[in-house]
Formats: sequence, C-alpha cells, structure tokens
Amino acid sequence: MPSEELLVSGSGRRPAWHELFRNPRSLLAMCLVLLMVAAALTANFVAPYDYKEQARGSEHLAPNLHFWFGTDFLGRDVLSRVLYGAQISMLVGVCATVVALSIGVNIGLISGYFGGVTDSILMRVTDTVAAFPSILLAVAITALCEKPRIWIVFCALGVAGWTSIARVVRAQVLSVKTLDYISAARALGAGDSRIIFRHVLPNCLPPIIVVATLAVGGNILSEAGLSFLGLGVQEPFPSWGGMLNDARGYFRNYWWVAVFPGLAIVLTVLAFNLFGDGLRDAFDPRKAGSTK
Amino acid sequence: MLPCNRIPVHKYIFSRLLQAVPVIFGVALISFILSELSGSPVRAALGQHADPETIKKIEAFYGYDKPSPVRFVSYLGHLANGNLGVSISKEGVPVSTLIVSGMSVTLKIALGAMLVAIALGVTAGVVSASRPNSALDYTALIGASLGVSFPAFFLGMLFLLLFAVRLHWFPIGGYVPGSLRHLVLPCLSLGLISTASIARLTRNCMLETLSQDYVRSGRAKGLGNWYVLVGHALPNALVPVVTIIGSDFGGLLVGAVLTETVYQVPGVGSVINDAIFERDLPVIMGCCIIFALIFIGMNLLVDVSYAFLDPRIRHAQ
Repeated sequence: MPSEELLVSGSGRRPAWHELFRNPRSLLAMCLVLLMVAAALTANFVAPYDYKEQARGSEHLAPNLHFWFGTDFLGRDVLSRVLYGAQISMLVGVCATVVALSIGVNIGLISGYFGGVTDSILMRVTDTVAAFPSILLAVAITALCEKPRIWIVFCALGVAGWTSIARVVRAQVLSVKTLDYISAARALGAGDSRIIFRHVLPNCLPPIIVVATLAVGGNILSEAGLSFLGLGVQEPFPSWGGMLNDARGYFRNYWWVAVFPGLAIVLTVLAFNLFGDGLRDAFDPRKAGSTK
Repeated sequence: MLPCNRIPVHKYIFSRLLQAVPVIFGVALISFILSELSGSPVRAALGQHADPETIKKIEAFYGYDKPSPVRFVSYLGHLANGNLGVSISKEGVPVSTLIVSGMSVTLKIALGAMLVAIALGVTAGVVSASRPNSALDYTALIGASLGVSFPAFFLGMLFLLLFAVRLHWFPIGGYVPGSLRHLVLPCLSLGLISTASIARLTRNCMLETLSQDYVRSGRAKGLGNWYVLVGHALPNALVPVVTIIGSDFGGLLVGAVLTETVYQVPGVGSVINDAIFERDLPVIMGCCIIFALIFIGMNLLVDVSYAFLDPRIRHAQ
C-alpha cells in the first residue's frame, strides 16, 4: 500500500529530479521504462515479422537465429508479438491510470477539503469499491460488453482501481489544508475551488505522482490478468497476458511461448515499481532509508 | 475514527460492525446495478428467438417487470438468504452451489499460500532488519521488489515448468481431493507473491521498533541479539503486519483464482473461467459479491484483533 504520509516537497531543497538521477535503481528503472516505451512506439518498424504472420510448418520452433524467441502454436514469431504486446500494455497501463486519477484525485480532494458528511459519504463509497477485488470488478464490467474493446478494458480497470489514489490524496489534503498559507488565501477572499486547485492540489502533486507511477505497474499487471482470463484485447492483436493465455495448453512442452511474454510483464512492472519507489525517495529524502 | 477516549473493546467492535453496514449495502447496490446493466436473465436464458410474449410472461412471473427499487429490495432479501441467482450456462444450477463447490479448494490454496507468505515474509523481514543494508538485506529487498512485479499465474507457470515438468517432484497439475502434493506448487507460487509485501513491512516495522527505548534497555541488560529481536521487538513490530495480512487475503483469493487456472485445479478459478467463456454474468457477479464480503469480513476481523493486540488503538484517538 502506498505511503499516505508523504511530505510536501520543500522549496529550499534541490529539485526532486536531481535526487532521482543520483539513485542507481531509479536510473535503471527509468532506462527499462524508456526501453519498453521505445518497444511500443517502434514495434511496427523493429519487429522482424508481422504479429499475425503465420509461418506454415514452423509451429513451436525453439528459439533460433531466425526466431529469437521461438514461434507459437500458429507459427507466429514470439519476439514480434512481445514487441507489439508492449503497445497494449503501455496504452492500457497509462490510460487506466489516467481514468483512475481523474476519479480518485477529485474524490480525494473533495473528501479531504470539505470533510464532515461529504467526507463520510465519499469514504464509504471508496470503501465499497475497494471491497471488490479490482480484477474481478473489471472482469464483471468487461464481461458486460459484447466484445471487449481496448477502451472498455482501461475504463474498467480505472473504475475498479481509483480507491487507493483517493485515499492518498485525501490524507495529503488533510495535512495541507491546515497549513498557514491556506488560511492566508482564505483570508484574502479566495473561493473554495480556487483554494483547492491553485493551492491545495499543487502541494498534493508529489504523492499523486508516486501513486500514479505505481498504479501504471499495477494496471499493467491487472491487464495481463484480464487478458489471461480471455477478456483483454481481441485476437489476433497480441497482448502479453493474452499470449500467456494462448500458452496455457502448450507451455509444458514449449517453454518459450510462456516465458518471454511473462518476463516482459515482470520487467515492465518492476521498472514502474522501482521508478515509483525512486520518486518517493526523491520527493522525501528523509524517508529514503526506510523504503529502500 | 473513534469518537472518545478509552472505550471498551466491545463498543469498539460494535462501532466497527456499524461502519461495515453501509459498505455491505454499497456492495449489494453496485452488484445490483451491474446485474441490471447485464439485461434480463430470462432473455439470456431463452435465447434470441424466443417468443416476446413468453418472455414477458416469465419476466412477470419472476418479478422482472417491477421497477428497479422494488427489485433491489427483493434482491437484498435473496442475498441475505444466500441466493445469488441461477447460472445461465449450467441450466438451473444455483450460483451459490457452484461457488461453494469451488471455494473449498480455493480457500485451501489461499490459506496455504498465506502460511507460506507469513512464514517466509516474517523470517525474511526479521533477518533483513537484524542486519540493515547488508548483502542479505539487499537480496531480500530485491526479492521483495520482484515479488510485487510478478503476475501470480506466471510464477505458477514457471514453477510448473521447473518443479513438475523438469524435475518431476510434483504432479503437472490437476487435483485429487485430499492430496497435498497437488496443492504444494499452487500454494508456493501464490504465497511467494505475498511474501514480498509482508517481508518489506516486517523489515520496516522491525527497524522502527528496534530504535525504541525499551529495546535499548533490553540490550543494556545484556540480552542476546536474537532474544531482543525475536522476544522483544518482533511482537510489537508484528501488529501492523497483521493488518496487511488481512487485506492481502482478498488479493490471495483472487490470486488463487488465477493460479488455479494454470494448475487446472477445480476451484472458484475454474468456475470464473467457465463463466467468462460462456458469458455467464450471474456467476461472475456472484463471485464478485462473495469475494467483496470475504474482504469486508477479513478487514473487520483484522480491526478487531488489532484492538486486542494493541491497547493503544482502543484508548488513543
């Protein structure tokens, strides 16, 4: 669970990115993230084969010089499909997080700022949505639709996964709104919406950036789970979870059909998690030791 | 959270139970809305070519022609009786029967995984905290970072390849009632995922506890390092760990669902899998509700045990 007590980044310190570049783990994570983004962006040019191109008679070839990651049960190149799969993972990971942020940040801001009955009601709503396992809720929402489309997938994941963001933002708002400059702004006659968006929100950004980064990793994992259950993007377009789903019946004899897409998931999620941890340490060097 | 100082345990428990009521109501409401969106189950059961008049008659018979609020009340009544509706693909079989039949295996896997996670996680956490920033600590932390990045089903596949296909130590999958050997790999692969978060939390809590005065006086008295660690610091450090174990259990159940699929174990996972394949929405919704209720129950249990474990929770705030 993300820490709910991140401090406001002080103005007298070196900027956070300075801290970030000095941390070797964050650097490694950043390189990995860039690598995956590059894979997603350039898959159309870099991939040696088309993702749906089936080589007759070369089903289940072990990794070799022509097919570095081997071929799957239809004779499709696993490497090309892993590269194209990065597009789905990145797109769903980022878009689901944007959906989750747009719900979670607003609810957290309103709940924390106004307090009282509004807070109680919104927090019970949050508790309620959080009670559902997010993958299962996303499964239910996706299953409602006749054909799973990509926007349905990321909306479902976002709608199911905004609760932790709302809680982090609320906790941060609670600590920020007691600060003197908020009272000063109010004394100067600023309205609620101005205070929220001009004064409170900017000071909640560091923890929001941290949870958002971690959420991208989480959403990529959830997307993989959804596709593994057969509810992701439609065939023949590849997604890593979908490739693992295809591999279910074959991987006992042909390990490469499962291992490469699986490793792609692990590396990408690991990268976002490490990057999120690095950001947390960078924003709050005092706690850096404990989250290392 | 608690309005006044020094409230007795039973009042604390009561107030927590009271807090859970709107959440349970909300869970039912969301499930109801989702089932409403999925359309009439009668239409789905009869297929596209059914006579519209017949559909109307049957809908009226089951009360589907009434306005939504009325149906929501009867839906709540059904829920309270454990009636989750009827499966569409397996005609006439109640959803609750399907879930109960799968749940016994799923619970076994989730509980086994939890034991693995607690045993390994707490040990790893204590060992890392005993030597912070050592090679051991670093290895444990890398393991923890990796653990939270692994999809449970992929680790399951890797374990199956290594321990069953290569080494022949365990069966390749399937499930024989009463057989422990079939459950080892699912529990292990699922448990290792949760080990990560427990190890990390144990380590951080241990480090925090170790910096407190009573630990220092323990050391000053000349107690051995391990005695201080395990006897004095661990019990206090474990209190927050209990919380995460509770909230992790929900995640473990869902993880069990995905892991079962890999090992072809006939639990709730295979029920959900079939339901997704057949677009059997009542079954999916039923699983959602049950998992949410288990999650709420686990959290209640955790909060209550928290009050017993840590008197400060009862008195402070």
